[in-house]
Amino acid sequence: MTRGEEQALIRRAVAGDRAAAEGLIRAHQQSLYAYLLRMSGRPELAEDVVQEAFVRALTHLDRFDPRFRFSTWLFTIARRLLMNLAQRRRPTGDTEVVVLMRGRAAAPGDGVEREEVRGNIHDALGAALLELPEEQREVVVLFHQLDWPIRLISQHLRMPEGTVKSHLHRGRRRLRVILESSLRTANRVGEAVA
Amino acid sequence: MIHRRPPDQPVSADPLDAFFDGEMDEGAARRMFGALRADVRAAEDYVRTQQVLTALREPIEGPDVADPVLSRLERAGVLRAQPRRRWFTGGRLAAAAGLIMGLSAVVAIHQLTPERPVRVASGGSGSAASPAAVAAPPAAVARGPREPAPVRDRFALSAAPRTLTPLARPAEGGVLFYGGVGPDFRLTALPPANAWNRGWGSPLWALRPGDTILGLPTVAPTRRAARPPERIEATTRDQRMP
Repeated sequence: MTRGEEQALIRRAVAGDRAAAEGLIRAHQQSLYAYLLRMSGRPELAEDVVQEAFVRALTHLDRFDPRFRFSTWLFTIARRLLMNLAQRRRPTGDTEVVVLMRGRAAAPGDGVEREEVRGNIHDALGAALLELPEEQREVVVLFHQLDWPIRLISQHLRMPEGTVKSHLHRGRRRLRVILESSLRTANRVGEAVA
Repeated sequence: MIHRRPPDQPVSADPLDAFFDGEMDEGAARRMFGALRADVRAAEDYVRTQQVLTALREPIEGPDVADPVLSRLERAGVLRAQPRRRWFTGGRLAAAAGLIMGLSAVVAIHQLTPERPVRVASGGSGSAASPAAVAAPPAAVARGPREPAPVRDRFALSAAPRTLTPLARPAEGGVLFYGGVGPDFRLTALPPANAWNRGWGSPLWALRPGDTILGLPTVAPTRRAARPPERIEATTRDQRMP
């Protein structure tokens, strides 16, 4: 969707056009969910925040400044909501993703599961991301997953571009180390069970 | 994903960071990959990071929240409710009313049109009849005498050309006596009859200047042209009525 098309949708949605509002939701819901899932590691929380963020954004769409991107505004709303909701719904133990990873590593049942533990970088990635400090995690997700440029991340997080880069470099390096360590551990457990 | 390095920003110190930030130009990238062949540790870092970032960029399928969000917005009055399909719209009602009125008008015209007594022409040309005014449709003929169709169906009004024809008008200062109109005309716009001609069984009019007897043709103009109206009574000039 081009910027002009998005602006047109926003104007129509402000006037109460249902189809336009639906167009905005469908254009951004997947990336917003991915961002929130990576940030929280909790699918249900991510889904709730996506819904709430859209409701709030579209309810107050008349306050949106068209000089900026709609996605930036939406993600800012979602980010605040996530922080508030994550505080209120803080899990009693580890996050869902971490529990899943440790469960698999500690008690793998059969060969297929051991194979998953050894090879599934995707599961390990979710857990590794959650071990990053929040700023690093957010910068890595926005830059590498959602393709946001440094300048936009800087605006979104209200921090200098140099700081954003610093978080990005450290986050990337740390993510690689955590992931390596996690996969190495999983491999060792798998080999021992085998 | 390779980002172009903004010209005012310095290249990152670490070549790998510069590469993954998208701030490395093609020549520098080629040099870096050349160096990686000789540096196993750095090559491993590159491969691991690339794997992480590739996994990070894989799409995540999320739930479709459009319907619940839109429902909430509608309930809150933010959006106009989705218009339901309505059968009784203004346009449709108007069209239906027009159709009903049209049909009613046709039925009313059929029912209210007086069934004129039709004199069927029989025999000679002198008989008074108006065959041009009526015409029997083929269906009525095909039905035959045993199944008499309704009168309305047996005759259809035709739009035969008819114009009023002045039959008699006295000259200025005189009186014209006129009796009878002939078989091809029905009289109209008649002045009051002045007398009755017993011999012909026809009214007799004494016309003064300004009076005119008008006749409405009852046969087709072509037939009428071949057979001019017959004037029964001649004129008597300069004879005033008592």
